Amino acid sequence: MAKLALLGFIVFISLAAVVLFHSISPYLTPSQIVGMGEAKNVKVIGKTKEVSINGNSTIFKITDGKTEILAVYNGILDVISEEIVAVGDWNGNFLIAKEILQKCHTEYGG
Amino acid sequence: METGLLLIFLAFFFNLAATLSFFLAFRQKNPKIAEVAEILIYSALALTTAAVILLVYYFLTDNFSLYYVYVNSQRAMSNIYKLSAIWAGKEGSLLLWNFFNLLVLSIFLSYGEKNLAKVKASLLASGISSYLLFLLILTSNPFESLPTSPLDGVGMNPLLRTPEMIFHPPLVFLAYSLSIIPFAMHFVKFGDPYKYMRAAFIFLTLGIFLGGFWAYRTLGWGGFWGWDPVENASLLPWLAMAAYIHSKNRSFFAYINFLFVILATFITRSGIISSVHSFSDGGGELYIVLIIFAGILAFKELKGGFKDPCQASYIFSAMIIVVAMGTFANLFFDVNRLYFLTTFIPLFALLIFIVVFKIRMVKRRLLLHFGLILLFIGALSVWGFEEGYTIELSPSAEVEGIQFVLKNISLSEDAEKYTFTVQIESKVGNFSPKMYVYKTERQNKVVSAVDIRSDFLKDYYVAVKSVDVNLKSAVINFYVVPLVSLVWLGAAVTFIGIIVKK
Repeated sequence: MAKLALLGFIVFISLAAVVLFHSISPYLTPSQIVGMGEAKNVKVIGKTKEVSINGNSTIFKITDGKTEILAVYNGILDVISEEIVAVGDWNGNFLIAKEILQKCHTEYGG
Repeated sequence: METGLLLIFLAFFFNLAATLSFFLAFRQKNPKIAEVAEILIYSALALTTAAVILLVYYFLTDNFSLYYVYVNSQRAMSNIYKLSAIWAGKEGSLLLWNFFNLLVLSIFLSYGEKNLAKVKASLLASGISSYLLFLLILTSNPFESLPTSPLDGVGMNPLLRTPEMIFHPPLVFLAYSLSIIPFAMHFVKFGDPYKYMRAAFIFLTLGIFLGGFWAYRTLGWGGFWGWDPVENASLLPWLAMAAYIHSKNRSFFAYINFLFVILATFITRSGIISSVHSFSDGGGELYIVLIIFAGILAFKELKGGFKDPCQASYIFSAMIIVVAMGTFANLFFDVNRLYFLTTFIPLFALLIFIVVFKIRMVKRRLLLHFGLILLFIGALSVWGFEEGYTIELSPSAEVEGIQFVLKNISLSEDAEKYTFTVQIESKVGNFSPKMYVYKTERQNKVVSAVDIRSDFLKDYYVAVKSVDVNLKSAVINFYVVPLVSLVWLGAAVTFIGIIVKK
């Protein structure tokens, strides 16, 4: 019984490793994405700049220090000059951000 | 030197002296020296308590000449939030953790038999607490002064200005402190550490559930668990504690638990996990010493053979591995949330299967395991069947046959914040979600106060995403969250089950 449990354990962990391998994707920088064609659900990492509110939307730029791209977010973005990850669709010209990830809300390990 | 820092310095020296005294007492088999060491630990506790009280005083009296108070407090904040602001940042939370370490060590020293093995266990626990005090002084001084005293502070992160955050961090840190004692007791094979681990399990369970409840009510994304590395960092010790309770290989899980407790601090302090989730302020690498130490002990224990008659400990081990793999993968990559769901849910389901079909074996803990079943059903429903929509109301919109009509947007102001209240009518209920814009220079100054209409089967959950400056239109997030009430009920029953042993 113990050997069977151990075997099941090893098989499951191996399968989990395979699932993990297929679940990871790198963060893209503005320099990397600027040369790409259309892409869905990309995650762009960089700092925000030139943030402006237009009605219900926020228009801003994401920069990695070398290149900057334009992004539009349907909501209020209140982070300026901070590192973010913008999740959204790239249409070849600008990023339509659906989600903005910021630094952890807890700010510590509590 | 600032009085608070002086108190921490003295506490460190007393703690260090206690560690050396425990060492001498052990080497010379001298109980008199052990008694001196014990008094030194009580003194270190008194000094740390004084430092905590002093910090409380500085917060309540708006002493913004201290950088930590300036960054985390504000005159307009209520006294209760000024109090919870103490653990809103790294420095204060680590001071609190050190206070709990010494408190738990003092309790350990005060009760039970006193012999050489206990001296050895105390030596290890005292060594750990003095090392953590040293790290507090070196990297996270909460009493650092500013050259001038500003008239007002920046204020606590608005997301943390909730009742849940008054209790969540202290509970988690108390659990972490309690779990150091079983680590030390197993290392020297002294006594029965189960009661300490059980107490740690109770506090961590409550702390994690409060954190999940806070996330659901405050973050506005309709969920209670996002598989964020910081969340996972607290789940890993919890899983290790659960495995400990079910296992015959308790030493192994005590070491693994301690490893994860330190790792949780390391993950959030070193910036090692991708930058959106952590704060790189230096000093995090110093925790590696303790992680390596615990890792070596766990590995040595594992080499002795892992034979466990309880299937649950295998399942908890697998849960630990899949969560740890996903969390570590975040070092280099973005990990899709689906990874956690596709690996964790089957293990959770298997655990529930065993609970249900081996009920004879677990009947002593019927309430606890019944709570776990409710929690599983609720979590599975939320993770698998929640529906979410982003809706622009100018002034109405229809989603899935539900008509939402924007009736009014009002703006009010108090000393702390501006409040936008959005009144919405629909056939599933009338909602008045709010959006707070806090008067602070902090990021995250815009916080959503969700409005929820519940029946037992589902929550209709509305959060404001943005409002037009002319107060004519708004964008909302609308979620239909099935059976989330079972998550809260299951959590409550599980918690009661752990306490009452039924």
